[in-house]
Amino acid sequence: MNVNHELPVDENTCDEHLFSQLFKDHASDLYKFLYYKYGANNNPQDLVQEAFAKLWKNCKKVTRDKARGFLFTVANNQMLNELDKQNTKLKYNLASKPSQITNETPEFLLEEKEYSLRLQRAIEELSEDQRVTFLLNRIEGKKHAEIAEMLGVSKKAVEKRIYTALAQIMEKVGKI
Amino acid sequence: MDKDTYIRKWVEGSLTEEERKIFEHTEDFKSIAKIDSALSNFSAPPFDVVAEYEKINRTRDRQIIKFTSFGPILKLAAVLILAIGAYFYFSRDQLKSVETLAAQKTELWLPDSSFVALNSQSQISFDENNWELERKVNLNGEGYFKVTKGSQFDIITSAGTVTVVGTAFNVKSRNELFEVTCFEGLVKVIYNHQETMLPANTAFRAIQGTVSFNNITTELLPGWMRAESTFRSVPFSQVIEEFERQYDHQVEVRGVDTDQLFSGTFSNSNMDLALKTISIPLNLTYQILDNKKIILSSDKN
Repeated sequence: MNVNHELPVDENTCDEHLFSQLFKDHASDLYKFLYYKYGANNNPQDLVQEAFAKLWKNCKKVTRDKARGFLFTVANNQMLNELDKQNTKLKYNLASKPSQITNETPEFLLEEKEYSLRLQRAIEELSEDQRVTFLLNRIEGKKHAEIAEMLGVSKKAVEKRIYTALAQIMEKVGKI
Repeated sequence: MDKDTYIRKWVEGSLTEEERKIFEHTEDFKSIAKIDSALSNFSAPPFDVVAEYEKINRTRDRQIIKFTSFGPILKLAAVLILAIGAYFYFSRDQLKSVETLAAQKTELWLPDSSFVALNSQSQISFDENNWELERKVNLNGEGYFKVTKGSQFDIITSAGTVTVVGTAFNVKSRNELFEVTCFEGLVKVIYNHQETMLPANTAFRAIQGTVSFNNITTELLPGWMRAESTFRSVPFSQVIEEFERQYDHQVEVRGVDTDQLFSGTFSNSNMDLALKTISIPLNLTYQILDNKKIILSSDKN
């Protein structure tokens, strides 16, 4: 007999309250994963919607503790129709840049801009798996073990992707 | 210690205190710091959880409405349906069956929430209601399985059986070719009454009765889920058959020895490119006819 109001973990996910809780818990991470893996032009928001729609459709087969694994399996095995698949493009997030300090020389600003472009290109040229692993770690600060779970691979595999991606990027953006 | 090793150990967190201090004074470390700083400009745009939940809620409501619009009649019907349902349940096996046509792919979930992706011209079936007792899946063709942790079941093909324990792998059962590729975990393959354990990154293959093992590259998904078909020393006839499946075209081969071995990869999303890939290495020419037919012939003709 349950004393608290929580559903036991082996309840399936066909419950509106539980479903909304799962969305609050996992949608944001799922979105970031899909954004970093496929880029801005492949509608990561729609892919999140699709994943949760599939969860709802298969809710009888998915227990609460397996929900995150289910969602990330869908995300990891996206068979994007190759004909519709857009090139990976990440958006430059202007909001994150503090207001410009005006005592920087034009040459410096130009160098910064070119560096940024080289970096963007280098990230877009990484393999999908390398990119999503690398960015989830470097930008989002996700720990290796966390990322390993999201991707369904080992912690060692995650670390390997990070340092090979790092080496590749360092080569492409060149010396500071 | 060379640069690459420093970086690797730094990522793994296995540098000693002293090594770390040394590393922090290197040019590489400064480069990494600059990269990290610049990376923040490419962080993902914000995700509006509330708005996005509203969207999924509306989709979900549409699905729910279908089931609850019968209202009070439901209670009356319930008894009848239960009786009829029970009759059908006990009178025959309810096999859930999914099939793909040429050029088609699909995905589904088993009762234990294991994920299955099905390649073209394949068929899968299992007893959904009896899953607790009959954990068996019948497969014809090719499917990729990502099994829920802790779950176990058997995949039965006409050539052999694969027993699963929480892993990720691909099973290909076509004419004369039976191939199991393990991507993660461990898989047991039963072929010709012989049992083989297959660890991650290895493949078991039986072509025309000949068995071989191979280490595969560390890809995470089979080629066909990444829109390409890859072959390692297989008879050319297998390549032609897969091409036909992927593009829903018939291929007529003239003056070509289809037993010769072929290694290579063709695209599943660009037919012209795929044709070039399979014809050029063997000095063949091709002709695409109107009625979804292709003629592949050797230059000598």
